[in-house]
Amino acid sequence: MLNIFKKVKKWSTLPALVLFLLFLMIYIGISGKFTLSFLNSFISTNTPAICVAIGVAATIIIGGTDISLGSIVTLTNVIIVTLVGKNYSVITAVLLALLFATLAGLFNGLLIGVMRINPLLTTFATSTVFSGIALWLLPYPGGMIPYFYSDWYNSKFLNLIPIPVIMIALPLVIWLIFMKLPFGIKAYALGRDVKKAYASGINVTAIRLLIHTFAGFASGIAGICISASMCAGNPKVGDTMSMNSIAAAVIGGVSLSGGVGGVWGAIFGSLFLSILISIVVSANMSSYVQSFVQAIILLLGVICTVMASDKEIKNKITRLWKKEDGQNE
Amino acid sequence: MNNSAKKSNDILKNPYLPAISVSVVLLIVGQILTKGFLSQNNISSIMMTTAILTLASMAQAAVVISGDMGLDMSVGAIMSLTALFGPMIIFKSNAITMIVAVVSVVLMGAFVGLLNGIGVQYLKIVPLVMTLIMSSVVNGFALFITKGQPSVSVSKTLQGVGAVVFGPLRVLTLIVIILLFVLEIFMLRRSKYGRSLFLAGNNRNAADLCGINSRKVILIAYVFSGLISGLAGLMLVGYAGSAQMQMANQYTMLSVAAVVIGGTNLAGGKGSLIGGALGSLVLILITNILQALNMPAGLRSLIQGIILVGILMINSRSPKLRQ
Repeated sequence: MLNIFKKVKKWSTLPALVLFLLFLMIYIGISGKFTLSFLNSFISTNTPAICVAIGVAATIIIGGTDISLGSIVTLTNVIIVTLVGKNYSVITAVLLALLFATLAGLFNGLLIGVMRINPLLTTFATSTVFSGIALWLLPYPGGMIPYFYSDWYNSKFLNLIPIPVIMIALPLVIWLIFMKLPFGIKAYALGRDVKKAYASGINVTAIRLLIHTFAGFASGIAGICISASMCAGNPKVGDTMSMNSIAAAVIGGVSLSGGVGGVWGAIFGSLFLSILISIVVSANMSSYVQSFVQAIILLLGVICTVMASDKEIKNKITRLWKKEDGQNE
Repeated sequence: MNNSAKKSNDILKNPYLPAISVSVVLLIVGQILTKGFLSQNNISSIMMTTAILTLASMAQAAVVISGDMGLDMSVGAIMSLTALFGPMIIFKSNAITMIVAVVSVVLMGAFVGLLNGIGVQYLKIVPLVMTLIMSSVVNGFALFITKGQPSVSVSKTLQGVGAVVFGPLRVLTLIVIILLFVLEIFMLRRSKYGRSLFLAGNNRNAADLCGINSRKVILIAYVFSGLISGLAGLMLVGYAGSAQMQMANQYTMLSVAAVVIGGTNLAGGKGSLIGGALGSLVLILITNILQALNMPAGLRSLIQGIILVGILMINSRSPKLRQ
């Protein structure tokens, strides 16, 4: 029992989970409603953010980062709208867009893995490329996707599992399978120390290539979901997503120095961010105050999670506790 | 013979070489592709925009040199902030309000930089995340105060930064060039602080063992970054003549790119302010040529990205792991 407790205490996802549950409770307290339909719509609106967070967490775990995922989401959305506008069937459009997103991820992977360019700079450069293509194809928000696409997105698979949950499960299951394979350990080893990983015979290039392709795939899924909930195209839809997903991953205990944390943390981190937005919106603040308050709470959240995982500060606190105990005796 | 070979080798190893050669090529390409590219007007506007980006890249360079994955993603946000609030201080057209404005935007920027530094050095939040969140705090603050409708009138005094000194040289360009060389030589190269900054960026443990308070040194780098960004915002609004919400946000990533093209290593401990200025010149030239060709915005950003990828491939590939 004590062992399990210790394990839970060390679990890197814990701060994000606690924050999420805490703020969920606050939200329920404020709005006074907690129904299944709320949960459904909450998940379906946040599926894109969660998928991107999974992708970005993967790239951070191997010691890199990816700030182009938001622009890949945009690109997917724009490609779907453009293809549908050219009388392709929706399914073909969606699959082609997903293919392009995965290729975009592969392109990142080639530059980072094979060409060995710094991930941050690479993905900054490629994000200008991807969002440039998107803006070129669709200079202004517009376009139409048939509504049955959105109906499908809000329906349930076999009348049981909501489609958004399946969409989240796609990248998640792939990732969990990765982690069961030897590949998983290798990826974490790479994140911890590139040189040692290389010295112990890990194929660094292949792992980077694969992980960035996976991140592209995950953002493609996110783009599909966001297109379904908008049923239109917008060349700026993913602009804030890359940065928000990194913040989500960090709140979820994924260390930016690599090799620490997991995708579950990123998922709960992004859920925390969305519930935070819901609270700020439902608190009836003027929209000008909202973004400020949101940013401040985000800052506090990151400070809390970082302090919670910081060993030095933890030791200080335990020492303080012990001192107090000693005085009590 | 041997001596001259050594000399040419030295020239080849010059960190500024890629940026200089690329900008020469771009100047030639620009002149071939568009009429009047090398006209005095266009050159002076290129120099002005380069000067503003140079300020941003100076801010970025200090933080990047300080090491520990140092990056300041709040440069653009701070610039936008001071671009909004700076002109409000200069309500009268005289020199005193101008000085007051400069001092207050510098303080505004330095305060945000101080918060960044405390977050990075004392709360131990990774620089990328800390400064990123700080940029949304700053943007949110600007939105909160102005209620989304900034009513900024830029006074004549401030617009004076665009006045011509001689030829294509304007006041702002001159100020930035002087500032660049003064800071490069007297802060980065010849001062005790500059040396401890490089040492702390290169090897923090060694710096600590040498008795350098590297925490304080890096904190000051963040404050310096905020301070220069604050000044850059005021200059930007003086040049643009009007202020909008988040008008300078693209400067964040542009400054990072400029610093890297100028030969500064993102791992820290190496680099210069002048390199950042050359990198800025390259980026501005690319934008200027593409704008002169009247391309749609999307295609422009696409080509810009591809050129950037090309530059990165030439300039900042990390060595093979086997070595």
